[in-house]
Amino acid sequence: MKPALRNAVRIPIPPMGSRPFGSWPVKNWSTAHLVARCVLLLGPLLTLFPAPGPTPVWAWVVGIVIGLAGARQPDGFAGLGVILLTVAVWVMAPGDDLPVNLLLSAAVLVLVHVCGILASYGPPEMRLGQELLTRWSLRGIALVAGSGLVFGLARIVGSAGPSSVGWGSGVGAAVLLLLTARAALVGPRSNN
Amino acid sequence: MSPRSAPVSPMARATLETRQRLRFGSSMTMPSRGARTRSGERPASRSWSASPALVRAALGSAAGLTLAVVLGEPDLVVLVSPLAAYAALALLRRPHLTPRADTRVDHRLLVEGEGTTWRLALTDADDVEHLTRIVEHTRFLVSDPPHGAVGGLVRGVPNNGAPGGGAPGKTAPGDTETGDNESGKDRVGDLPISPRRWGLHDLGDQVIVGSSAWAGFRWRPTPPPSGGRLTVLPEPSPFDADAELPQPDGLVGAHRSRRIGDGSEFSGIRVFGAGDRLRRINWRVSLRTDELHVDTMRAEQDSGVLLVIDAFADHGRSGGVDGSPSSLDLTVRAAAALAEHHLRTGDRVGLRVMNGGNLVVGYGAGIHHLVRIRSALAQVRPSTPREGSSDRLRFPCPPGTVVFVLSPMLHQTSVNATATLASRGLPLTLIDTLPAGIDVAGGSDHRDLHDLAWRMRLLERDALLRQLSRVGCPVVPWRGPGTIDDVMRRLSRRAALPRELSR
Repeated sequence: MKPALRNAVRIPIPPMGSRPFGSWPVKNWSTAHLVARCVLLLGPLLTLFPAPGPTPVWAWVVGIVIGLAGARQPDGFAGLGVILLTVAVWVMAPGDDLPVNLLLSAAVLVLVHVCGILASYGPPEMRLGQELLTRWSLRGIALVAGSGLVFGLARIVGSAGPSSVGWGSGVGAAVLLLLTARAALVGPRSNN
Repeated sequence: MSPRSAPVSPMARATLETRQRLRFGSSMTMPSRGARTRSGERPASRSWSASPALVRAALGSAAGLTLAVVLGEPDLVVLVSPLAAYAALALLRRPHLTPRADTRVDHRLLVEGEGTTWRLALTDADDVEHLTRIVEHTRFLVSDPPHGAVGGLVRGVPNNGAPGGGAPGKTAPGDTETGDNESGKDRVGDLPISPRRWGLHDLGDQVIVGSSAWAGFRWRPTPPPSGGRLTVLPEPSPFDADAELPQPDGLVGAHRSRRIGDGSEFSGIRVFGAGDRLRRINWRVSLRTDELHVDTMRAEQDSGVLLVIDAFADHGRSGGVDGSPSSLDLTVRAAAALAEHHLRTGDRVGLRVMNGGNLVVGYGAGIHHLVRIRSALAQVRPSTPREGSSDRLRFPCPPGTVVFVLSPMLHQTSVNATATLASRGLPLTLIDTLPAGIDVAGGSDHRDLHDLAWRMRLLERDALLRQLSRVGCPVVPWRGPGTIDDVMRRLSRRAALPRELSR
């Protein structure tokens, strides 16, 4: 007998007909994917809750649309829409001080962003490992903690006058744009 | 269903692309086959590109910070600062090495129902944090998990001679392997697969996507490494036979011959003659009769067995090794079982496939010949003969060859060939391989009409089988062990009778 036949092993594989393809897909989704898609669906609405003052109706409608789009396609532009929608709502929010709710809104934004990343690692049936989930949970917590640091700094600097915050933000935006442009235009070093 | 001739049908590709686009974005769809650059050259490998997560974080945070400057809103800085930090961290961990991917299958030759592992090996993968591999769903090839998508965090290990790596035994710095074949342990990207039906199976297309740290960049090899082809041998049906073949005429074998020879089966006692072996002297009879007598033995001979299989069409729907068989499944598995049984008893077995290809395997004996016949059976595809070629069917049958025709007897050419073989006076058995309960209508709207037509066709077939029986061609349905016992005994009795030969 050929070695291939001798070495081949029988593996426990479900019989044909049990494939998820062609059937209602959600029942075959992994739990992590299901949770991530739910967060992507509800995330845009959750980011609107902490905003002070009454939230306009159009923002809720846009939030629902963006949530549906993000849950359907986590890699699409819905993620950018969530950020812009939140920014727009906070621009229109009354009051010039820095409320603590801001941190809650930033945390939800991070949560939606991380869930978008996790959901775009593969098809919904693919199992996301515990180690991967733990790693991204820690990263998300670190990012939210960083925003808390910025919040504290903004409170301190804000007491010195709004112009300082403005200039600091402007410099940060310019640096970030430059970095993005460099990443987009300059390719990685070749190893061939 | 015939084994696939092309790796991916356009319909399957379109379905898969649509499914992937719906599920996890447009950037992880199946690459188009034969995609080329503007200059006409096929790209060898695609380098890293910014991921949608990095783009949205960078654009969103840039927009927020710009608005914070323009409108003097410090709360926007706090709001987008985590995303800005994410974009900065992802950019800082920008990958520098372009990985190379290679896949291999542990076993290229399998029996239907057996499993193997389709491995993935990466080199120069220091910058890959997470790897996703999605394998296209192909019929009769199942994977574990069934959806064919695997992924996980990549841990760098020294590469010891893996495909695409450095020299064996040397550790190349920067090489990372995801599949560890020597230890037999599955790594990220390895996919256990199992073919569920005999035949030649092309492994489907696949998508491999690597993500850098913080998921800021993605890499996907274009075109992805191809999986190649699996040869899947038919699993022989359970079979055993007690009856001996009617006309053994070879030199050595396990069947009792009608001739006196040098075997171990007692035949009779006769007076000693010149040339008789001394060890054959029966001393008891010799002393009693005062004359030397010797025992005579029957010769033990092998026989030629020709398996003729009808592959003009495949009737019924194959469910693979786990499900209900089609007519070609029954035919091929029964042929494999007959070949295995007769080769193990020392006979010489040949194979003749009746289809458009006219595949012939000559007579041979031994286990290697069994593998040869099963490999030939794995290549059988249903096809109709060319116009007029059915008249030129040749069957290599030396005198005394036992012929088994395995056929559902629904094609005129196979009926003619069987009648021709029967007219040559060979011991021939027709094994009916039409499975019971074939649903010919399927999802058709005219189910009653289809059923009626099928019943009429079966009546015609029954009449045809009765006619074949009358001209001396016994017909038995395939039922596994004992299928040919009665027929072989009858043929043996008939072979022992005196025959009238026409000159």
